[in-house]
Parts: sequence; C-alpha cells; structure tokens
Amino acid sequence: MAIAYRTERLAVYDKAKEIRLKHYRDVLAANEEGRFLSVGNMHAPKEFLAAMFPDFIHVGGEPWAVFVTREGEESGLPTRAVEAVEKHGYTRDMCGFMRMSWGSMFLDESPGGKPFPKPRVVIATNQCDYKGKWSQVMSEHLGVPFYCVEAGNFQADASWKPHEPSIEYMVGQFHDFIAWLEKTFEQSFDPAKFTEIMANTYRSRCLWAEVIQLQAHAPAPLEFKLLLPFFLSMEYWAYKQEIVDLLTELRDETKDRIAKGITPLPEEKCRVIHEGLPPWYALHMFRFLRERGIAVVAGSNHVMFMPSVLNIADDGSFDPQSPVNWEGTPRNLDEAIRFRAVMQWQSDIWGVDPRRKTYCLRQTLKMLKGQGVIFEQDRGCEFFSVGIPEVKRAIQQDGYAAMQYEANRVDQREWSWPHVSDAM
Amino acid sequence: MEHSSLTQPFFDLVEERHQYAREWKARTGGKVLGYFCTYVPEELLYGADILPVRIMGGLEPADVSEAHIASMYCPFSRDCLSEGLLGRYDYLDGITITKSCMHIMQTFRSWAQHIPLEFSYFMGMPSLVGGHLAPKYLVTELEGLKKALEGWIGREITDADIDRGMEIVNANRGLLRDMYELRKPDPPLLWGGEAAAVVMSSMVTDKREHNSRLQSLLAGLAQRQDGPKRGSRLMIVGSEIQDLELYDIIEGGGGVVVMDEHCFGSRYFWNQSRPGQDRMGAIADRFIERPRCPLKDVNERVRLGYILNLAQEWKVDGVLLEHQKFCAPHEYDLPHIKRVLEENNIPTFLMEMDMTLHRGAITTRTEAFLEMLELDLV
Ligand code: SF4
Ligand code: SF4
Repeated sequence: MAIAYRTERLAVYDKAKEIRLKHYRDVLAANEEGRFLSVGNMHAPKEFLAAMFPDFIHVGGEPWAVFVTREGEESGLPTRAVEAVEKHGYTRDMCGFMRMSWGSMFLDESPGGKPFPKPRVVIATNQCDYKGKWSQVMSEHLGVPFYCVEAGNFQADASWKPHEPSIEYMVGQFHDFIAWLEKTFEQSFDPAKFTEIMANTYRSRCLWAEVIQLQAHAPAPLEFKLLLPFFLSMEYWAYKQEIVDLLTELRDETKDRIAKGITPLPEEKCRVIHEGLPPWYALHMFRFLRERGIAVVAGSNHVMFMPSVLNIADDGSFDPQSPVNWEGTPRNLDEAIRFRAVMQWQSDIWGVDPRRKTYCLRQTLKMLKGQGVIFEQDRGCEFFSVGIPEVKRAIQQDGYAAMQYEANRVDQREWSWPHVSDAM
Repeated sequence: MEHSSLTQPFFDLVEERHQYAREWKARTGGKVLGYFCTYVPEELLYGADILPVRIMGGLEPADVSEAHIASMYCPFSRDCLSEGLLGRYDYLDGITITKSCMHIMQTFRSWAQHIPLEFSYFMGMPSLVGGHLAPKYLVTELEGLKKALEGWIGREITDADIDRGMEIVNANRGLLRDMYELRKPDPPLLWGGEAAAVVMSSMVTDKREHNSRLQSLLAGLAQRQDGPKRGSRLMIVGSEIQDLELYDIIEGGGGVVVMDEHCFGSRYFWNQSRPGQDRMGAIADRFIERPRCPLKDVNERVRLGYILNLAQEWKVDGVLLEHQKFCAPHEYDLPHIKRVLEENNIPTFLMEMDMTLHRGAITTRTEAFLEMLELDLV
C-alpha cells in the first residue's frame, strides 16, 4: 500500500518569490531613482560593479526574458518582442532568451508598459555562442559602454579540475575590468567590499550544495519547481547577504521538513531528474507530474554549482555527497578574484561537453537516488542542449529510464503540451 | 560544369581527397590529422611531419548523426560527423579542434567518443582576440598542443621544424593571395568555383605539392584564353561553403564570383605568420590578426569594415550572404553586414543553406538577383 506523506507549504518559498518581484519593481524604477544599472547575461561579472556602486542593480538578460514571457503576456509583449527581432533581420532559430530580451529592448517596452530599463553599462561573460554577441548588440543599440570577459578553454573531458591557463587568463581579465571600470566611471573599486561579496557568493553556494544534498532524502523534502526561485536567487544575487540569509532559511526549513516527514507530494512513486530548464510558460507540467506521484528532485544544473565548494580529486572527479568545504571561503582580493574565475569556468564547461554533462548527471542520479531523467531539448538554447542525445544514451545504457521533450523556453510558438504530456 | 585543364586537377584533389590521404600515408608513413575549424596551427603540424586535413561534409542526406547531434545544430556540423561515423575518414590517426562554435565542438566530441583514434586534442582559443591578454594566453595553449603532439609522434618539434612548417604554410598562403589578386581584373582570370576548388584542395593536400601545383597554375593563368567573360561581379560572405555546385549555379547564370569571406575561402589563408625567434608568438599573432570569424568579433566590430573593404577593393556589384540553417555565429552578424553593404550601395542577397543544395530555389533566386544587378549596371 502506498504511504501518504504530509504535504505542507514551504514557508520560505514566498520570501524567494518576493525577492524576485522586488527585483523587477526596483529595475523598473531604477532609471527614475537614478540608480546604477547594468545589463548583460546573468553570469556577467556583476560582483565587481556591486563592489563599486551601493545602489547597483544588474539586469540579467535570461531572467529578463523570462519576466517578459511571464509578465508581459497580457499585453502580447512576448509575441511582439520576437517579431520585432525578426523585423531587425535576425532569424527565428536563434537563442530564445536573447530574442526575447532584444525584442523588449527594440520595442523599448517592459512588462506593464514602462520603457526598457536604460543601463549605464553592458557587461557579459562570453559563455556560449550567444552571450558576447547578445550584449554587443545591446550596447550598440543602447549606446552605452560594453565589457566582455571569457574563459579561453572548454577542455574536452569530464574533469572538473580548473584549467590553470584559463583561470590565469580570466583573473587577468578581471584585473583589467577593475581598471576599466575605475577609469570609465571615475569611481574607485573597494577590494574589501569585493572580497566580502565573493565570500557571500561562496557561502550561498555552500548552502545551496547542502540543500541539494538534503534532496537525497526519500521522500524528497523539495521538488524542482519549488527550487526554481531559489535557483534564480543563487544564480543572480548570490553575492548579497539577503540571499545568504534566504538560503540559510531554506536549508534549515528543508532539514525541518525531513525531520517532520513533510514533502511536496502526498505520495512519492518514483524520483526523476529534470535535465535542462523548463519552459517558463509551462510550469504546470510539474503539477501534472506531482499529481501522478512523480517527484522531480533536481537537475544536473543544480549540481553543477557544487564542485566550486567541494573538494575536487586530482583526477578531476568530485563526490556531490562529500561535506561542503566552508573553509574555502575567500579571505582576500586574490582569493576572491580566483574564486570568481573558477566558478565562471566551471559553469561554462558544464554545458559544452557531453562527457562532463553525463558525469554530472550520473553523480546527480546517484546522490538523489533518481530512477529516470526527463530531458528538455531546448530549440532556443544550444548551450543546454549540447550533447543531449549522447548524454541520454549513456544514461539509458546505465539502466535509467529516460524521455525527452522539445520546447523553446520562451518562444511559445514551438510548444505543444498535448505531445509533451503524452510522452510523459 | 566542365573545367579548364588548368584547374581540373584541383577539383580532382577535392573530389578524391580520401584516396589522396590514404596514398600519402602509404607513401610517407606519416600521420594524418583531421581538423574541424580553420583556427588550427598548421605550422606546427607541418613541422611535426603530420598531414593536416580539413574535415568536410559529404553533402548528402545522412541520418547517422541524428543519434548524436540534435537537428537544431547546423547541417555542416552534423554532416561532418556523419562522414566520420560512415567511415569515410578511416585513415585519420587523430583529430583536433580549437575552441570554436558549440555546433562543431559537439562534432569533435562525438567523434572523439565514438571513433577510436590514437590522438584527439582540444585546444583553447580566445574569442576576445582584441584583448591584450589574448596573445599570451594563446601561446600557453599552443605550447600545450606542441607538447601533446610531441608525445604522440615520439619526438621533439624543434625550432627548425617549426621554421620549416612555417615556410611551407606561408608559401601556400602567399600563393593563394596571389591567385586572389588575379580575380581583381574585369573580367577576372579565373572563375569563383575554380578559386574555391584551389583553396579547398589546399586544405586536404600536402602543401609542398600544392605549392608547386599553384605555381604552375599562376603561370598558366597569366596566359589563359578560356577565362570568364564579363558579368556581374559577386562576393560570397558566410560560413562553410564547401559545395562547389553553388558556384556552378551562380556562374552558370551569368555572374562571376570574384571575392569571398568564408571558412572555405579567404578566411582560411589570408595572412601569414611572421618568422622570427618567438615562433609560438608568431603563430599566436597570426590568429589574433587574421580575418575574424563572427565568434571572435565581439568587443569591437572589425568584420564589417573588413568585408566592406574587400567588396570595394575587388569591385563587387553584389554580395551573397550565406548562412547555414541554425548557425548562430553567422546569423547574428548577417543583418549588420547587410546594412553596412547596402549603406554603401552594394546590394545583397541572403541565402540559407541546408545539408544539400535546393538547386531549383537557389537558381531562381540567384537569377533574379543577377537580373537586378544587370539592370543596375545598364
Ligand atoms: S544559447 Fe542558452 S546558454 Fe546561450 S545565451 Fe541562449 S539561453 Fe543562454
Ligand atoms: S556553420 Fe556556423 S554553426 Fe556550423 S560549424 Fe560553422 S560557424 Fe559553427
């Protein structure tokens, strides 16, 4: 007989949602309030600006695209945005996030009807084929300065050990970036503040790792959809004390849920991993799965943040269940800059090599006692979709169940729920 | 299309490239290394007595790659992998790539995973080539490749080896530039399809042999009687244009391709490495200074002015802007290139390529474009 678990709301979830909403309210008011705004990709080196401008806000293109998709629906903004991009001569098969954020910029429209936020600077990390160019076009269109940094090597294997020439190259670029910022904005950089910012980022990652490790518990205390706003906070604002506090609360509440036997599903029939990010207009798929007793416990994109706070063995492997290395928290400027480079490089390499993705997914399945994987093949994101057929085959050969659905995270014209739900 | 006896041998080299490499191996006992992107330091490979060959697609629908690369990646990357999986490159001893687009990097990785080889090497490459840190970083990566090659071939690659390699590849680059000069007159001394076959054959032939063939070609072209007649002068800008039939369509319709800026054309060979004591620095500098692919034109746009200059110097009447379906890098540059050319009164024509040519559609559209150019010319 199936056991029915106690389901209860995650109290800290509303806080995470509120942080997200407040961020967008702040962004929309930023120009009127004269705050220092930057735009670029989510992983752009925003921490350096945060160490210079107390009122600083960064608008990550990916979450902005999600914001446009979700909150602009009523006024038809998502469709008008992608059409505006096509009118500028760009093809429909390009990155969905990029097109949505460009569209909002070209139309000079935000959800709710306000103009697109005007930044003082565009910053980027050149991670996939798009991010550098995405930001280049924004800086040209908006007429503001642009700075981009990159990792030069996406070494081809499963190792997570930092590739030292790439790290050194990035560290050099970050030093240049500091000098450029000081010169461009005539503002001095505060090394102590930056160190604290990166220490917070490190702490957020440690807390995140502990939360994901707690997901190993059966029944799982959280599920993929519940993790979404925290994942966003972790990716976006991990450097803020507010997020360290939020993730501390999440970890503690998760522990408490385990102690009290609280789960998101009344019945956990099986545990699966969702690989990739879901289309934001179709999060109802998680309810569909929940109603069928399928616990979507996490994704390898959750685990990919963990190597930066765990010990990596000499052969480049890491054990996601090993204790989090709180000792590694950066203590000075050099350590802070190096950590910024390593965490950047590690998130860059995760996406580009099927062997590394497979390794990470195997580790995730093992740690979280997953029985199968739902792969999202995103037609609008080549980074998350790289090597999916290879990864899927490897996982199936290991004996796991696997299914794949196609979507475009932001462009709803490429979505068919009847097909996807049938496949599920 | 029938080719002149002057250029037919180059078409044959492209057509029979696999046989050529097999025979080269049998003759020399050397190793053959396949590469996927023009950012490869051929100086080092020739210095190591390795024959580098550019991996090309088979230009035929093949579904063997489907199980490895999703259909949302460019046809070229899928086609190349299919060729490997079908065993057409069974003579390769190794493969290499430098950091490039996500599409072709995936081809490299699936190839390395599924096709057993002695050697496979991924080399880092900066995209932000304008940055002052890029050359130093690139030298580190080149040193890494050199060391890996030495381990593979079992001997040191000496300075003298690198100098020799540099001399061989620089000579080839110089001769190809000379050939491109012969496309400046009106009419040019050779067809675009012929020039493309010469460049492509240089990617799959021992360059020492190619150099002597090129020298004879250049001498022959100076005396040529059966060259192109006057027609609309076209340039092709794009990515992996390896289908020579495209030139037949364009040039059979009354145009003549006099210039190009793509990976199977001028972008491959345009500049030389400067010999000197700092050999790795010279190879790195060449990569930094070479005509940029869109992926490497990030912080400041250099490509637009560069393409416009070529179009003006070769006095082109119109430009064909090609991209492979799903090719992100070229798709984000094309609207900008189109704008700049048209602002300078150079008409453009967009062409999306798939695995195989849609001959009928391309013929109709090219004819319409040529007709429009003719009217303008009148
Ligand atoms: S392709 Fe994917 S990873 Fe790259 S910018 Fe677009 S959404 Fe982000
Ligand atoms: S055509 Fe484009 S996507 Fe394909 S390999 Fe070339 S640059 Fe990459």
